[in-house]
Amino acid sequence: MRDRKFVLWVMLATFFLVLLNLPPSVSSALRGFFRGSMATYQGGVTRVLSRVHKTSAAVGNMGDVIKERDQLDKDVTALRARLRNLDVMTRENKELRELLGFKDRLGLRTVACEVIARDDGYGWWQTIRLDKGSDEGIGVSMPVITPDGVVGRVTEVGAQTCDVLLISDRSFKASVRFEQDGTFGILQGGGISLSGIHSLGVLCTPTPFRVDYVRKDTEIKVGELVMTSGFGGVFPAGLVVGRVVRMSLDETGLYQVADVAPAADMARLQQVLVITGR
Amino acid sequence: MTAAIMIFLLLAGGLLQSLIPAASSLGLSKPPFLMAVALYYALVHSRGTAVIAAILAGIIQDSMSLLPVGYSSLCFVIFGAILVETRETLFRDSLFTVAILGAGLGALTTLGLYLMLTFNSLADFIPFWWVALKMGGTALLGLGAAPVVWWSASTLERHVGLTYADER
Repeated sequence: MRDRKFVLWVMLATFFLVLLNLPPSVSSALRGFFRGSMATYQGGVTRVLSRVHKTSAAVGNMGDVIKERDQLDKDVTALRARLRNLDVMTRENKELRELLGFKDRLGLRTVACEVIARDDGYGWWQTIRLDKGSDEGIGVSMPVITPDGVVGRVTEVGAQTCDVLLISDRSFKASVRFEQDGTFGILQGGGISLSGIHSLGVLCTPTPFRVDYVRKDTEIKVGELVMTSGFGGVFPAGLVVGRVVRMSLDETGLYQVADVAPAADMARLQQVLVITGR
Repeated sequence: MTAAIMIFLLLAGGLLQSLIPAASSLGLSKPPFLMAVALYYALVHSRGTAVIAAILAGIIQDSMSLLPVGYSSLCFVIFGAILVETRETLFRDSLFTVAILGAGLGALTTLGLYLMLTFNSLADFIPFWWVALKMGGTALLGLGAAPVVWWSASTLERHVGLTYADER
């Protein structure tokens, strides 16, 4: 009996030795299998919860709905008239955009994705899971953005899902520059703080990011835009990261440090773009 | 039937754990439903079933995060094995015991994962105060999650005709 138990422990130890030292390709496949199995349910439940939330919000406000309806009837009439004008303006806008070659100037191929889960499974890293993966051309280290600004970069990819490390995570680093004079710095996620807004709805605290190693002899103004520098090979240059909220000297006194507020609303990410090519 | 229920519990636990948002005031802790499933099997089922549940729960947890595959499994198996060996000395049918074990194992699992991450230089960016906060947060959430999982799992098994005697 004791021998049998010993053999079982040895087998278990061997199993863990193998499991903890799996080659990256096997480990990734294993991870992808389990993640893929969960993705369908995650997406479904997220959508159902979103509808339930909207419905409950609507029911909760039933008292105001009747008043709003009367007001809306009036508004609809006025808006119809304005819509006719807007149609004309939209056409003009589209033509002007095409004229300016906006899309060509951006020069980025993107894939639109929906956020189906937030935070990693045990809360060590600040991540989100998207509903598209390698089947749509998404690969590791691809930048993730919203129209407002940079969100993060892809860290894990399955066939139909991918995980994104948010720029607010403490382990996230990227090379950035300041808008006015192009001074460079290293952006680091702020992680979490013990102060600020804490609720189940707020997943990423609004702790500013930190830009380290900013030259001491440059004058950076509060409110200045911080953009990706294009160095490092992950983010193309010129993507907005945030705005400076405070400048100070670092502990050594040799460099300036900038506290930066994120441009993208990290707490309410629903739709994002993955940059798949340039 | 035991396997089907285990798979259902693991999937449901994984789904809940991934969907419930982390609370930043608790060190971004998540309710440890998968750990609670492993705890249930360690308290109630045979040694072999408990080990399989712990390994699968760990792999699912690691797959849903950036943790290297196997870290959580190792923690769950170690704590599960200790529980299997000592469970006869515990009032394991009491929800209070399960809640206390859920809290304790939640904190210990967090510490275990941190030590493994540190050992492999993967946690250099994590300050210890944050880990302490996370341990407290996971303990608090484990206090609630473990009895819920224990009650759900035992009720489910009772309804399909499985009794503890089959496994013990």
